[in-house]
Amino acid sequence: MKSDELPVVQERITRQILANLRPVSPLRRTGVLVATLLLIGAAIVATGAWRQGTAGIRAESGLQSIVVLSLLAIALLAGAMLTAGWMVPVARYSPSPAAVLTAIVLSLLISIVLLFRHASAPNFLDRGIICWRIGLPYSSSAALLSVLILRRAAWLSPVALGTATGMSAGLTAMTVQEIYCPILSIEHIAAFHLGTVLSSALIGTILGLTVPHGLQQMKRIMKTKASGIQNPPRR
Amino acid sequence: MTLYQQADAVATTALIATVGPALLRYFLYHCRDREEAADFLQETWLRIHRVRHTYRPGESVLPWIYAIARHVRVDGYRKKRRLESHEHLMDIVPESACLPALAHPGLTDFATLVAELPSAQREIITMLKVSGMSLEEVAQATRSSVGSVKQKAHRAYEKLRALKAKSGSQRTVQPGRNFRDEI
Repeated sequence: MKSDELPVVQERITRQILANLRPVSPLRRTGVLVATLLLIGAAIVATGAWRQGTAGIRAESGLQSIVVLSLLAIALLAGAMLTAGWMVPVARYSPSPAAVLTAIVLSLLISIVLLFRHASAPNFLDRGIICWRIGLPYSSSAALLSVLILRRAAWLSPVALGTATGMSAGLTAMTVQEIYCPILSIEHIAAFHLGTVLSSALIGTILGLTVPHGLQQMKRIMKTKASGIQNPPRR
Repeated sequence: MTLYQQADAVATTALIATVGPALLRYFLYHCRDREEAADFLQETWLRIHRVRHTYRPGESVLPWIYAIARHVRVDGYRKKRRLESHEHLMDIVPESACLPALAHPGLTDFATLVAELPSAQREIITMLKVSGMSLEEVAQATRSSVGSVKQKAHRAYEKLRALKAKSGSQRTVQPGRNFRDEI
């Protein structure tokens, strides 16, 4: 391309953009997005407490409940801020979701180890899987409701956004588990409550990696099919 | 930009005409050839158009545009790497001596020097000195802290000084100097 070809390229771009020019409303402020995401989390937690009960809170001591639930509330706020930050292309210093996830998991793990006790529970795996399976629908519901907000995101970093959303959804489910689950052993909470956060974040990352690629492939196939219909092969 | 969001055709044309050349220069410093840079420019504008609602009125426009351009460049690099991993070389390809994009007569002293820098430092220097963005704006566009941008810029200046001294030129690279006129 020569220097005098720049106006030609610019003109082509302008023509393409002007052909699809429609007014759009700007994305809401970060504060509004964070508040909405927190509201979704709170609604899911309230539904979980109403449906599953509050046996966990009743079994825990005051200190255990206050520390764990406060940490989860801070983590949920961090997750919502992270998700809202990755929705737009530009942001002041924003840490990577992997770093935030590591910090949250470590702080929760430390508090669990310090506050709870070892207990050799019978049917560790069976009870754990039941607990995990109860948490998973809440995590999925939180993620699906978050998509209502995320549909307006720029999606420039789908992996980061997927991890952040998955992590937030997992934290919502863990809050539900902490409220209803009366099993207070370190092993159970670390493996099956914290495991919900990790598995949700992992699912979010995988979806972020695969969905945009899959959508692109689908668009390409559709385009190829459409051109094949318009221009049938010559015999 | 706000008028562009409101579908004002005149403002949209003016925006493309104003930012387009600087964006093309940004891509030229990172691409192998001009065709690729032009493709990136087109892809950037199409993506800007797709996500134009994510710009919030009152905020700086340049960091927002360059953040998208950066993603387009990285995605393009990944796509190329993916395609190259599936290619099988059937013959020996002659090695190119330098970036063909820099063979353009308009891109002289500065472009040759900047081509020697690592990608991250080149990006920071291009944004600061070619696009005329502030440290804060570059930090926003690259999602890093102002301190990190300053550090990268400082390292780049040191390297540029060393290169300049090595080439035996009389002129020295000064941190505060704007290279727009040189290009």
